[in-house]
Amino acid sequence: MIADANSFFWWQWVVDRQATVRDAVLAHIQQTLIAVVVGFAISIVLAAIALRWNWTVRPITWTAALIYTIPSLALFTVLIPITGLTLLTAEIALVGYTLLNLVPTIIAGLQNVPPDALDAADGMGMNRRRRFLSVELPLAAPQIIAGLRIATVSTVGLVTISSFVALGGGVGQFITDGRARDFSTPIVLGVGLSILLAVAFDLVFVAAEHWATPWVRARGGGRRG
Amino acid sequence: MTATLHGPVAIELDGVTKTFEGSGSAAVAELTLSIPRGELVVFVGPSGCGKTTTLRMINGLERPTSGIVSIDGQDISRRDTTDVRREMGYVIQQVGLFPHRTVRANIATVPKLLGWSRDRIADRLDELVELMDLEPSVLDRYPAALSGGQQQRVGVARALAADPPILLMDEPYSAVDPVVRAKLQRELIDLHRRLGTTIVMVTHDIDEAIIVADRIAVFADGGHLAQYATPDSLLANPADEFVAEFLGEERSLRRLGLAPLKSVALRAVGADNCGLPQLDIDATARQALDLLLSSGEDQVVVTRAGQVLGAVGLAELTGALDQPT
Repeated sequence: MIADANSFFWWQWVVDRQATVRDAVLAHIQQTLIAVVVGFAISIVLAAIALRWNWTVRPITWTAALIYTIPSLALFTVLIPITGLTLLTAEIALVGYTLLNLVPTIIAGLQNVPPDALDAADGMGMNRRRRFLSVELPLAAPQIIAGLRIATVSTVGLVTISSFVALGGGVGQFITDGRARDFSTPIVLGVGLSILLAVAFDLVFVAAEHWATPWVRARGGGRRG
Repeated sequence: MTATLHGPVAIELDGVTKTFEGSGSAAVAELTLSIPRGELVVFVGPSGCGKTTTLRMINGLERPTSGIVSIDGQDISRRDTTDVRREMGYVIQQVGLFPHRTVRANIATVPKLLGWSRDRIADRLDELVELMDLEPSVLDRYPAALSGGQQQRVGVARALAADPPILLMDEPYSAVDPVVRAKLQRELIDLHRRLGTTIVMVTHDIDEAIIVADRIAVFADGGHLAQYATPDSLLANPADEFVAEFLGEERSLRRLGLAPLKSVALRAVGADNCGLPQLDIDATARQALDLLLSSGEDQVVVTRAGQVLGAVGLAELTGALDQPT
């Protein structure tokens, strides 16, 4: 690799900015996690409402889908005059986007719990809260984790976009910087880190699902405890 | 409220009616039935006759529209339903094991709800493994890794975990093949004999009912009780056309199948019986009849451990049918 400012990727430029790169990655992770955690909390409540009052399923999933159809750049731009150039602006939009992936998967996961397991839980004298925590939630876990996985990976990409409108300091700032100066190294760095973060989060969820749902694999092997 | 085990338990349904919302007719209509302590009672009838609904009213999974269900003389609507349910074992059609929990955790469900100590649960698990003839190695598996018969045994072990005075079973053997089914039925009879638990079981299979029951409640459409009697007197005297048709053919033969040779009066035989067919006293009257027919003789010698006790012929076997129990 040729080491100067005109090459496609100038390694020394990155090495000189190690601290900045590290801070950007950490900020990116932080923004992603805040969005997913808050989005998950809201989604659980919405899913609980939807399952408790069946008629709310449609309006809730419809609203989540509607938010998702708004182009992200447009939503960021609309929010800036209201909440300013702050992390809050970015997070409002990011949380909104997680709902489409989370709410329907949580609802579906809970609806797919085998009815005979629920009947057995009731028949053995579990109360509603106990049944929800120790039967419904674990049995819905594979679908819920799948939803979290998609929501997280797409949030990583959206955080990158949020820095285009100067919101937050994720790795997208390198892409913005590179485009402004017509300098390829930061663009490659930003894109590369964005992809690496998405893959890393994805792998974390694969591991989480493997760990949280050993029973899913029981059908084939049947010897693990 | 969990320590009232093996007291004077009996289940009493008094004028119980259940009408489901949006349904014009009652699923169960004015049902009055009492289940004596320690008996194995089977509810049988065509599908939609209200037998499952009745079972579910006993543990409060369905609430009667009117009428009273009482356990041990206590109206269950005046008690906390979760307490009532924890005092009763419950086995359902598709077994209903929790797929995300190991066999061990499945069986320990009710003891945990009752707050038993870890040691007490472990001891009880050992007992249940032995009682249900399970291999200890299945305890750490997940239900999906078990065969249908094993799942069914685990389902019963889970229902019996807290040693409940009452066991409710809703079509427990519908998902297993006939060979396993016959084995599980024999195990149930044996279990009932050993534990003395009051068992209420729902099935649509009259043969199953005749095999396992002390007493059978035949339900007709609309949740009416058509007849409530022992298997033998049901076969001897069906109350009406519906019950007779539901019982099916060859009722006398099936009654003989229920009668152990012990209950048949034997005739004396002389010392010159060596040419005659022999049968052990533990056989049924039906087996004696079969041997009688296949041998072409007019009597069968009954023995115990090789010792001749007497003999039965057609007259004795007919006599066994004369006395409905």
